[in-house]
Order: sequence, then C-alpha cells, then structure tokens
Amino acid sequence: MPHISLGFLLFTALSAAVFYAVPKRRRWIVLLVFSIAYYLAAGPALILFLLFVAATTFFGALLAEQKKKGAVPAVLVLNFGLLAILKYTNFFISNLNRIPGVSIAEMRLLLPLGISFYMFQATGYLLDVHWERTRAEHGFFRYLLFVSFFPQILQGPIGRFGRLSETLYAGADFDPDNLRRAALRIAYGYFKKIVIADNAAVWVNYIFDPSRNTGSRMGIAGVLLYGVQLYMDFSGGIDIAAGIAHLFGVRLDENFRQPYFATSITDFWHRWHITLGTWMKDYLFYPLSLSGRIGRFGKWCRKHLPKQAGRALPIALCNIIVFLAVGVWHGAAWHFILYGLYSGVIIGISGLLAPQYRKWKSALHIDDKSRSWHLFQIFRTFVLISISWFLDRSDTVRQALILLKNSFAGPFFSLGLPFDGNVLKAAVRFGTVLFGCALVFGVSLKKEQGVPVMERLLAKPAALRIALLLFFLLSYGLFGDNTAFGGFMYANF
Amino acid sequence: MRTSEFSEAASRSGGKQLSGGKRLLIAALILLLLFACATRLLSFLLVPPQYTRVKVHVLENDPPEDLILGTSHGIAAIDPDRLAASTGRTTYNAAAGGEYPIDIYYLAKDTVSSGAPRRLIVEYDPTYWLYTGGMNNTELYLIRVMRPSLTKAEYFLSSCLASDFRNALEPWYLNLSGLRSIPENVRRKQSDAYRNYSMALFEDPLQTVMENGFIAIDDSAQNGRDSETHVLISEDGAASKAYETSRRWFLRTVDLCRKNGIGLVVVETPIPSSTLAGDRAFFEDMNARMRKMAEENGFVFLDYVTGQNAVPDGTDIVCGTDGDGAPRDDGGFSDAEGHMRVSAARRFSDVFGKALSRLP
Repeated sequence: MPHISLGFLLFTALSAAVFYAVPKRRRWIVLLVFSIAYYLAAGPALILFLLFVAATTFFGALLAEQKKKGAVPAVLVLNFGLLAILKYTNFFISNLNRIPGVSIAEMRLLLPLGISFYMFQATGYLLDVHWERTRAEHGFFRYLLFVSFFPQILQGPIGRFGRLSETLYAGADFDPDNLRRAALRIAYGYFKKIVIADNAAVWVNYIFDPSRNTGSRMGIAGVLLYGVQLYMDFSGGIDIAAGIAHLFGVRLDENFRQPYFATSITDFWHRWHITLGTWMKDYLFYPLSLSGRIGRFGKWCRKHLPKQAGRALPIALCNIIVFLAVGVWHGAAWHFILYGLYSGVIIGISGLLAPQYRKWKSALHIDDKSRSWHLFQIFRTFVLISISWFLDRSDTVRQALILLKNSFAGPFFSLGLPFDGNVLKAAVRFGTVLFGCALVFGVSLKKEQGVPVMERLLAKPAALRIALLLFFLLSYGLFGDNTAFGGFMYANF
Repeated sequence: MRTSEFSEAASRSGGKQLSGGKRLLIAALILLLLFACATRLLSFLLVPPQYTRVKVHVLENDPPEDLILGTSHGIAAIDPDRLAASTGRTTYNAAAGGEYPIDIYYLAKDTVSSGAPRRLIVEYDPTYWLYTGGMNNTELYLIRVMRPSLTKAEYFLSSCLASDFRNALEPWYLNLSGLRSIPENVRRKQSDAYRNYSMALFEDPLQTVMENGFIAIDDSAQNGRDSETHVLISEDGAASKAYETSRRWFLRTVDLCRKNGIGLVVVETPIPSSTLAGDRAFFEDMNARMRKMAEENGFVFLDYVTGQNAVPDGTDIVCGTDGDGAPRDDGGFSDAEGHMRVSAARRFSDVFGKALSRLP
C-alpha cells in the first residue's frame, strides 16, 4: 500500500476513527490489527518474516531476562543470518562469478518490506533487555505491535522500546492538538516528497542514467539535486510517519535534525538518519570499542605509536567498521560499501589529525567560535557529503568515479541540466525545486536557531493553518511531478 | 478583539465556548470546502471536454441494442451505422482511447443499470492487456462523468485505491500542460453543444467524431505512430501479471453478459500487414489465449488479424484470412499502430456487419 496512494490515506483515516471509537485500554489492539493488515496488503507471505523476527526476539528477550546464556547470540545469528541471506546472497554470488570458471546462478529471493528497519528495531530491543536498559515485554501481541507499527515499518525511524512503549500502549485520549500537529506534519512531508523530491528526481534520474551520461559534465548539478531529492524524500517520509503516529498520540524518535547545517562528517551523522546512527553507536560502536580485542589493540597502539595516534587509532578503526556496516546496511553493492567507508575513513582521519588541525587553526589565527568559521565548516561538510552522494546514487563504483571525474574535467562550475526544449516546463520545475528548498531552508534555519516551529504554528490563528494546509494540498497537484508514481527511496530497504 | 479576549467575554456573558474538538471539526470542514471549491474550479478550467462524456450520457439515457466498447482501434474501425444496416439493430460505438478491460467492465455494468443491450461487442486490442492502465486520463474522466451510483463507487474504489491520491482528489493535475487551453475550455463548456451532449464540440480538421460514436479519420491523415514489437507474456513477469489482471476484468464482463442475457462478441479489428509481419508471434499467442477463453466461456471471437476465430458450429463466417474482405494494406491506416482511415473503416464495418448478421 504505497504511502502516496488514496488507499493508504483512507486506511489511515479509518484506523484513526476506529482507534478513538474503542475503549482506551483496547486502542493498542486496534493499532496492532491495522499494522498487521497493512503488512498483509503488501503480500501475505511476507508476514512470515515479520512474525519470525518478532517471535525470536520476543522469546530471546524473555530468556535474556532470565540470564540464559547463549540465547541472545543465537537469536542475533538467526535474525542477521536471515537478513544476510535475503539481502546479500546474490551480491556474494555475483562477486564469485567474477572468478574465471565460476558461474553460479543468482537466486530469486524475496526482500520483505521494511525488513532492514524492523529487524534492527527488534534486535535493539533484545540487546536493551540483555543489558538491562529496558524491561522485557511479556505480552507477545503488545511486543508484536512494537515491531510492526505501520507508520514506521516502511522506512523507520528505528525506535527504542523504552521510549516508544511510553506512548504506543497508552491509548491516548482524543486531543485536537495531536490532530492539528499530525495534519501539518503529514502535509509538510508530502510537500517535501511530491513537490520537491519527485521534481528533482526527474533530472537526477536522467543524469545518473548509466546508458546516457558516461561523459556527462552535469555531475555537479546531479549530485546537488540528488542531495535535495534524498533529503526531501527520506525526511518527507519520516514526517509522514511521525505525523500519522501523532494521530494516535504516539511519539516517534526524530530522524533528522537539519543535517545540511552540520559542521563535520561526525556532526552530519548525528543529524542524518539519526536513529540508524544511534543504533550503530549503541549496539556496534560501544560494544566494539569496549571489547577485549580493541582494548588489546589500543594497548599495543599506545605502546608503539605516538600519543595521539595511540589514543585515536582504535577509535578510528571502530568508526571505520561501524561505517562499513552503515554502507552494507544501505545495500548489497560495492558502491554502498564504499559510501559507508568514505565517511568512516574521514571521521577516523579527523580523529587522528585533531591536534594537527588545532595547530593549523592557531597558526592561521582562526577563531573557531566565529561565524565565518562556522559557515566555512558547514560549506566544507556539505562538499564532502555531496562527494559521497556520487557513490550512494550511482549504480556502480565505476560510474561514480567517471561522473566524479567528468564533473571537474571542464570549467569548474558546469551546472548544466538536461533540457528537452520545453523552456516553460524546465523553468517551472526549476522554480518549484528552488522555492521548495527555500521554504524548507527557512523552516530548518528557524529550528536550528532553537525556534519551536510547530508550537509557534499551533499558537497562530486557525485561519493561517487552514491557508497553509490548503497551499500544501493544492501544491501537490499544481507543482508536483506527474510523470512518475514514485515510491519512497528508503522503502526498498 | 483578540481571540482570548473574545473567549473571556463569551464566558462572562454566559455564552458557550466551542470545545477544542468542535473547533477542529469546523476548521476541517472549512478546509475541505475550500479545497473542494478550488479543485472544482481547476477542473473546470484545465480539463477539456471529452467525447467520453457524451458517450457515457448516451449509455445512461438511451442505451443501444448493440453496444460497442473497446479501444482507439475500435473507435476508428467500426462505424455503427454500417453495422446497423446489416443487423437491423440500434448500434452505438462507446469505445475510447485508453479504455482498458476494467473500464469496459464498468461501462458495461453502468449501461446495464439503464437497460441491458442485446449484444455487447468488445473490440480487443491485445497490446492493452500488457498494462494495467494506471489511472490514465480516460479512466479518471469516465469515473467523473458517470452518474452517482453503486457502480460508480465500485469503479472508483477499484481504480483509485492503489493509485496516486492526486488522481482521485486532484484529477486536473494531469492537464497542467494545457494552461494555454483554459480560455478554449471555458468557451467550449459554456456552449450549446456541450450542454446538449453533441459531438459537434469536437471539431478537428483531420477527423470527425460522429454522433454515433465513430471517429472518421480522414483518408489523408497521417498520425505518425510507429508500430512496436511486444514481448510474449510468458517471457516477461510484469506483462504476465498485467495480463492476468486484464483477464480477470474481462471475465467479469463475460459474467455480466451471461447474468443479464447479453450476447457477447469479441472482435479484433485488422492491423496493417507490415505491423503484423513484425510482431506475428505476439499476436498469435495473445489471440490463441482469447480463442481459448471464448471456447471455454461460450462467447464469439472474430479475429481479423490472425484468424483464430471461435464461432458457433455451423456458422458460415470468413474472418482473418485474405479473402474476408477486410482492409489490411498499410494505406488503409493512419499509422502503423492500426488506426483505420474512414474509407477502410467503412469497408471493414460492412464486412463485420455481415459477419454479425450471420451469428445466431
């Protein structure tokens, strides 16, 4: 049931109506029924995977609570093994087939909807119970709701049981404020997706089409537009998910915090896909960095290397491993792996060179509290992230490198865009993307300055909110791209 | 007076304040009303009148004895007056470009509620069965111009649920490229021809839309559409899935006819011989499937392309061979896809009409 379909809107409206019609203590059951129905609509067979993940992690957590040894590793192996088989088998096969004489047929495997998201959410819960950060849920169906909650199952955010359960099972009372919040956030999310992301996608798809643009010098424009498309698409989808959750009084974790205002790659990953980043930090980085092996490596480094390197190298290694995992999570392809490693290596090197950077800044008399330095950091980070988008968006590493090379082969600013001769159409599309970005930038700037934008909007007269919603509703038809019925990009994970 | 002062004043005077829920409901209703008005205005300005509006009006008010449904090939190839001359029945051509099996089913069902025709003639273009339609302009327009009924509601839900919500809520968005046509749209919608459901509204130098639903493409018209080579559905998963969906909708039409005592004739109109030569395997495969369905379900299939007919035993019909009198030379068509020019269409309609008159 695509989120842009009429069926999904009616489904959501119906679920909200039924939710508030039943007694408070039964409302979580309504959410569960609708979540299962949503997943069944995608294909009845796929629910088996969801139930498998839910059942194994549920019982695993109960056993972990009783301190049964081996339960947690076994469940993790089962679940990540399943994910590895479904998502990465053909990747291994295709790489093995590069060996002369090897020819293995690729398998036709089903990738269940949202598996990368709900599996991480479920295993996170298992580890939280194991490490006594949260209590185990003893009701299987209540736990199943946590895993399958329909607004977030397609593309996150990846929730934490401790926080999500506070509102998920509460059976919120009807609060008009929740509905106002929901309407505004959902409408804003669709605006980002339909009006901005889908329009940018028309050019991005053209520029990155491997059959068309090997020699293209539109790479800079393409990667800038991809950065717009990706952010608007993904954050728009999260806004819709969070807005729908608000309908039921459920609070989801935020997944974006004005990422293009980041001052470093590390800061970027604290603002972009936040819940994936914190999952990796809590369940991979910390256990890894505190592990015996890394501890021993750290001791060796401190003994044999200069002081800074001795301290920073183990952390750098952990970061590289974590970002390798981030890349692998994004997809079974070398360009995704390099995409992850790219950030990991930069963060690692930054840590190693931190004292050197301080020396350079001192020598150049740079005041790192100054506004100009802050703006420079934002610009620098933006450029570094944009380079990573070549790897993320391209179909292969080769295509990414060719496009990157060609982007800088000619005059530095070659911001050409594909043009089919229709001036008005191109101008409208360009103006739409520009206006949309300006609007979102304005909202983001206010949020970055600490202004509670939603609360300010809710305090304004109703007429303003009605006008804003009417603008959004009409903008989908007037300015949205109508050449594709585009699903969300992260819904394929 | 500020909102808070108003509330205090209302409270002091003993007036009741609206609860948060009621205020929200009022705001939502205002928003919906404004949106509905804006959408209605944009539809009026942007969506040009279409001949399908006239056709639906005829089906709902004066259904014929022989009803023709189908695609743009059918509109251009079948002149109802020529059929009527052979069969003696009132005949109407309600085919339309972009009319998929789902649309054919609901148009037939809508007509049945006004008075079941004696016979339904479905023009079959197998290339349409490779796609599921995807809410094109024709379908959206058909749904909008149908009178309110359970059939219309069912049609809406069947078509719109899985598609982009803009199709249902903002159908004018597909017409944004026609901004320059706004003055012409307004003029046409205010004309007598529009109010009287007349095809005179659709003047075109190279084709005439007749009141009987037939589009007479001028013998000099050249549309420039090329032919395509199509995949066999056994070799393409997406096409196979689309075929199954189309088949399901078509079989619903077969059931509808059976339940209402309507005779069913499926006809595949001729295509240019050069087009067939380049895509023979596809047409033979698809027509074999249609013939099998016809034999299993007891309806007539007249295949003027590859001759795989299904007719009652003893019926003397020559169809699908060089001697059947149907035009197949490239000069009889305005494009390689197979839209007949008027002279060829009338010749074909005479041939087809005679075949129909031989059916029991």
